[in-house]
Amino acid sequence: MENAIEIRGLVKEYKDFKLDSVDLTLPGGCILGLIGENGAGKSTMIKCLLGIIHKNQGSITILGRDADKELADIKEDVGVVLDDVGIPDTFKYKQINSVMKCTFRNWDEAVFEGYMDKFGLPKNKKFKDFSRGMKMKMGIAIALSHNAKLLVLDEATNGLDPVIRDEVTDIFYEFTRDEKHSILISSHIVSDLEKLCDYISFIHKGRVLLNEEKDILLEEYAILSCTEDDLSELDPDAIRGKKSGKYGVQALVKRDGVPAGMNLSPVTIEELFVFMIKEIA
Amino acid sequence: MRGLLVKDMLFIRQSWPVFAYPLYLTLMCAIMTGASGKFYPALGPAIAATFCLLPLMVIADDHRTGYEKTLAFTPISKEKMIGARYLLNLIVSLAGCLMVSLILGIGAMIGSVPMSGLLTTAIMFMVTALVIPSASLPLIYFFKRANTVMGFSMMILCAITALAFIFRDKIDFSVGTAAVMFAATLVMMAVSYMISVRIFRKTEIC
Repeated sequence: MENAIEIRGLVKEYKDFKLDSVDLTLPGGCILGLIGENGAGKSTMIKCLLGIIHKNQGSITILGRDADKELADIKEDVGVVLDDVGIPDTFKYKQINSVMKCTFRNWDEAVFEGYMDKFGLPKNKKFKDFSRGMKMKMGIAIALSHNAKLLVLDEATNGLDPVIRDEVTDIFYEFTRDEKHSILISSHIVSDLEKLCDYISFIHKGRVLLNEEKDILLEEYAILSCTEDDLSELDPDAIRGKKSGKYGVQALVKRDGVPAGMNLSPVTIEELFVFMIKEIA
Repeated sequence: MRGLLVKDMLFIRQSWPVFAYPLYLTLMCAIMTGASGKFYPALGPAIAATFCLLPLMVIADDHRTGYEKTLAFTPISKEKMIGARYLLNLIVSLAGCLMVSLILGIGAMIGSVPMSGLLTTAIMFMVTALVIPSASLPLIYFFKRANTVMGFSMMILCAITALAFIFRDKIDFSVGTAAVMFAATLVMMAVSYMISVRIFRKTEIC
């Protein structure tokens, strides 16, 4: 199966920030979580992907097609939700439906209405009177209602209450049941990504630190709780980060670099990320 | 492109109070026509000046609400986005021209004024209604400042309206002259479109 997204050597320069030779692959039928702190470059990467901003260098392929040449056509098959949903203030459900029906070839009114009901969105309320959470839900409903093959979500679950976030996560998971469907999701709510994603990519200060299958990461790394002396006896290559505390040291380690018998506990993606960033800093 | 046009039309329909002033001005001009017994071609630009901000308001609203970002995810090329805006200008201008011609015509009929000047007035309406956006749109796309450009356009339009009324007796065109001006306006619009496309292709949407 072809990759849903292939980014090679992506460079985007600003005065005080640079997205530096980013390589990223989202295999078809998978969910890739893009994790990074604020200002890491997640949104910049996504905007370059969608052609909202111009890249300085690099190639981008979406659903097997060259984004430089066929971007407008590709967008028929891409559903996008950014952190801010832009719809004219005075539009209600009916107007939004009319516009989207004329915009997307594969717009499905019944599916859109279904998501409006599922998310409990009022049909007679103007968009400007929606709460932030309702606006995000509207954005998600629109993205899911034109038979997209790829969803690109940039902080799309921010502002949603935990119950709806859980529901939306289930919907995204359901979306990828079809092996032709893929999702690229960026967030700093790492717990959502941990539940949902097959692949994880860490981005920090414009560079991709890691791009790996989630299960492999969780198997490969662990948290070691020990003393400084014990830690100093380990192979330095096995240690990816450490945190000293009152009761000893916690270190992010590669399991195969740690002798048996040491106190290892499973690592979460969030811990993995925090330790790696602190180590770089 | 159809989706963008539908969205713009819905926005204009919902902004109907904006038509109140142009309608009022048109009625006043119709009364003036009936009372004076002649058509003033200068009234065309004066009334058009109140219409032609509407398509610019659409762009300003897209920027304010963030719809331009939403537009960036839709399967519409940058050329078609620009094309939709120019087409909107044409549609709104034509619709305005028809409405104005109808009202002025009724005023003329009531005042038993010969209809010969109506065509000239209508053409001059179209000329102004297309010239102002043709000049403004490339500036909006270049500076990404729809509100600022609109502000300057409003000042120019107020000046046009004032001058048109003050010198209405002195400004008199034949239909032929007005037709030539209209043809030149269409050429200007085409050039403006090409400039806007070149600018917008290089522009980052956000």
